[in-house]
Amino acid sequence: MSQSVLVEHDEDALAASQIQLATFEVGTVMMAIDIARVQEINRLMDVTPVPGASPMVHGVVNLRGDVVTVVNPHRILDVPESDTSRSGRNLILNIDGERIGVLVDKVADILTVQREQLSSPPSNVRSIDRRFIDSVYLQSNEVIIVLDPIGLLDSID
Amino acid sequence: MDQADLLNEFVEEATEHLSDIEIQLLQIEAMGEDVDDGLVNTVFRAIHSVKGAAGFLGLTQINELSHHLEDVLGRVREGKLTPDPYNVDVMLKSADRLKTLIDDVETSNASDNSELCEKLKAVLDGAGAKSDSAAAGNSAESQLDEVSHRIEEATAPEPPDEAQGDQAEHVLETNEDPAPAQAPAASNGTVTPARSSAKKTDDSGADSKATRRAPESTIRVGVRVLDRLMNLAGELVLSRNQLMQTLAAISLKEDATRQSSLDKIALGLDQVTTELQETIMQTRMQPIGNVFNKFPRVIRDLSASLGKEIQLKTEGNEVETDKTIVEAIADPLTHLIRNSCDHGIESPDVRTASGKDATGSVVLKAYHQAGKVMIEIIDDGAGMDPEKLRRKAVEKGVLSEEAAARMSDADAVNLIFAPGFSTAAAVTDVSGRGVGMDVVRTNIEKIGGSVEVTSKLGAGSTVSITLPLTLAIIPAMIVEVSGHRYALPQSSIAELVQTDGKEKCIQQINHAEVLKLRGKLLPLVRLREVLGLNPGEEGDFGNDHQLVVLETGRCRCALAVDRVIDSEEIVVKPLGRHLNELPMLAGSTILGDGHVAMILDASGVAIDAEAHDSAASMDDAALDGAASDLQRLVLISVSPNDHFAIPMDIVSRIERINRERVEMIGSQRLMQYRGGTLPLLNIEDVVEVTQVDDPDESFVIVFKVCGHEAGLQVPYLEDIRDCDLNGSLETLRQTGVAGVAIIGEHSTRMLDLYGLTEVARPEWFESMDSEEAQTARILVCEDSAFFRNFLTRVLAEQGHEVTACEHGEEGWATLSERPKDFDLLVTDVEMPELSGIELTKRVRADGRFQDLPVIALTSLADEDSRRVGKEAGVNDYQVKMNKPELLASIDKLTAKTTSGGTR
Repeated sequence: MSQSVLVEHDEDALAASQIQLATFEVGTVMMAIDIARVQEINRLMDVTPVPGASPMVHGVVNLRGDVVTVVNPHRILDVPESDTSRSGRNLILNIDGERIGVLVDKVADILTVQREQLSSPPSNVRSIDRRFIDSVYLQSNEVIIVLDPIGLLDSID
Repeated sequence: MDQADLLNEFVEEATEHLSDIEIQLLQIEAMGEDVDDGLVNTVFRAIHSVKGAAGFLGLTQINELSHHLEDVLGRVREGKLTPDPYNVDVMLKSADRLKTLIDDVETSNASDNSELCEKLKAVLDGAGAKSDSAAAGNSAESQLDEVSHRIEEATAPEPPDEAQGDQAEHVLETNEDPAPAQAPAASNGTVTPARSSAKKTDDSGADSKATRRAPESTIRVGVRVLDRLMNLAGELVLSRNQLMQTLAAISLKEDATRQSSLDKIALGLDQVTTELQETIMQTRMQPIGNVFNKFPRVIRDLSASLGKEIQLKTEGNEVETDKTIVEAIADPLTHLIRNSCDHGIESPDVRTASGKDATGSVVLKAYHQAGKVMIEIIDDGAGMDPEKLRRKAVEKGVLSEEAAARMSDADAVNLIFAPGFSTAAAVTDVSGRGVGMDVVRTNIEKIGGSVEVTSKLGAGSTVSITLPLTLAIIPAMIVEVSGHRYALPQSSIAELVQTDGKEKCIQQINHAEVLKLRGKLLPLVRLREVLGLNPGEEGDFGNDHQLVVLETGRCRCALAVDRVIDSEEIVVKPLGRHLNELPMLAGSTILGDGHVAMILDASGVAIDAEAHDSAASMDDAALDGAASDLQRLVLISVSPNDHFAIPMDIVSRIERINRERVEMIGSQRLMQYRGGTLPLLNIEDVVEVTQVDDPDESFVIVFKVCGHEAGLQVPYLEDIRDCDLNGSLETLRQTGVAGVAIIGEHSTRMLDLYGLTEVARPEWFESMDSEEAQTARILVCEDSAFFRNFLTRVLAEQGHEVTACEHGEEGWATLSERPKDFDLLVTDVEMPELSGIELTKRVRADGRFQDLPVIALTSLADEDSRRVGKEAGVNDYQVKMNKPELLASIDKLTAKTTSGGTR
């Protein structure tokens, strides 16, 4: 019994030290989300606008029979929107059992990083509300902002 | 039948209680001395409830066994018994036996569980000694002992009925034991999986047994899983449609055999898909009996409190309908049944006198008809007198006399569903003042149903409710606006209208667009504007609009769309949490081509139109001429084309004067009046009119505003009479005008005398303005949409933050939800559901709101009602249209509370 617990602990420790991030672009900003939150990545589907909804909501899509809300992070993060209809993707997150799409301009890569390499956001991060930022990761002089998806969605009014 | 239902419920509940017990007991075992009290408590409570219910239902064996088990668990809870493999095993065995007994509850009393009970008793008695040996009992010896014990147990004869029961289970039970028997030899960690897997086999054995004996076995499935299945089935339907289309497009004529085999496959897929969808729909169905079962008790209590003898008979308990509908129908049904008992069934002596059985009967009946669910409430009471109802309708101003005379008896009895209608001679606390029958109808309509009543005087009444089978699939009309498609539920559509420019045409009334339809005016709402969409390519449609006339509960309006596409059965899909609060949307659906379309909520759209478009707006327009607010109006005119109305209750006096009596001082007109001078106003000073006649004799309507008396001078006084404003009044944004209605033959503008005075004599209002710096958060409860809008507008103009509710119940709900959000309650007195007085009483009874100021609004503030209001805790009484007084009162009351520092 004690042995199995130990092994589990080791695995936990191992998993806890690393994190996989899906990176993507929103406007010119490079961002990332813990891949455990990402259910799938789709091409931009036919989006139906929702009258009366917050401007931060891009619309809804049909995801295999489920009507899924798609949010527009440009609006939430106050990043100018760019015309990237070809490389644009819909990142489907699974948050507390609800599926939510996030409209991104380009999906870049999947990074495996050590947790200790993530640092808390510098106080001078501008144009982005600190509420959505989980941490910041530096990769060859490029800053990748790791989003806190729950914070991101909570900021939708 | 009832006993059987109770038994079924018990089985369901007990099974749920016992579902996790195995794992929990095993956890308790693993914890040993450091047992988690909370966990033991959970198990204890579960067994305790099983024991209690079993005792109640006379299930002696289950009761006894659970009783002993409870004792043992109690000992564990007290810390007097340390869980060890032995005593936990006895507990597990008991739990298993309980499950078996419950699965076959009907024959459970014939079983013999004395052996198990003895063992439990032994555990209990030997609590001290046994636990010692168990603590030391990790030795091989005690385990061996235990193994032999278990084997003995396994081979011991089963209780008689089960022994003759079935072999399979017996075998399984024998199989089960070696696993735990070997288990203690290995580490504790591995015990759990081994044992539970063994138990699982056992369970399935018991299940299969249950399948054979019980009519139907059930498992609990989360609604979410079902919804998911439903979605997937919907997707399958789409894929099938696409496949069928593609197949039809591909011509395989050259290859006839391949074509026919493909067709066959497609047909098969088609049928399976349809059936799959139907079957999944069925999983949401619940028997209506779930609701019916609560009524015997209701009737029992009612009979006692009313001093009547009433017998309830239910039929069709097994009729199934959508879970949501079953839940939503409970309240309206309760109300109707109460009504039948209270108003329908006579007291025993009256019944005997009229040759009836002293015991009245109420039959509650459900059945399927033409794809709908019908529910009937049949009483053999006094029935309703259509003549009496007609008279009453006329008295209450719901109907004109001719209309009442024209009305058939069948229609007349349905007047009870008109707002504010009561048939009881005396007011009783059972069904109140007849308030609520309109709400019953509204609530039934909300779930897509309808209700009507038939009655035979002296023989009884029958209320028939028609309900849809499901809410998950609804018939809807698909419309297009600016290239987007939207779904409108059929239940909110009254008709489709193609304007023809003559009888059916769009007209402008002071910047507001209205649809003239068969002599009535309907506010026109342009869906494009409400939804904030850009005009499509088609551009201007001129007068050639396709209009959808919406009717929901108490709203009616014409909706302009670009195109009506088709009517379709749509599957309602919920929207995500970021979108489900939007008032204009009732959900979404996926159309045949896979696109998502929003389902519009008709009343939400209408309300939004009101906020969006200052000119056109929606109002109460109950088609049947149902009225809840009757207003005594002074009807006046300045020319044959310009008709106006003033609420009588703000008029202090009307004088007939000669032209000579009007004097001019500077630019101001005035006249001698009761020893002083009375400033005179004219409608045309403020409001746009076509022309003004100037006859020799004119009328001066004297009213009071801000402490000043003033007179409105008008050329003609037409009439003073009671008018129903709910039927036709539209709000109109024009200075000095509160709205427009058709009264008699004329479009009549309702004057806002205070607004008018404010423009004509701004200096009177200056003193008030200075005090208006303070703003308050006000909750307004007013059932008449007209006054609600008026109040909201007036108060909002003063900078107050207004939340409006349609009746007392809604107001109470809002208040209790956000107790800290309001500084003041302004409530109408006469309201359905919960009157203003009752609401005030409730507010005062609640500690949170003791200091909340309450202003009651009334159109007739007589001394009696004032007294009743004061007693209930109303701070002030105000006349509805008396804007300055109301505002002053609000300022006074809110100032008091803020300075008092109570909130």
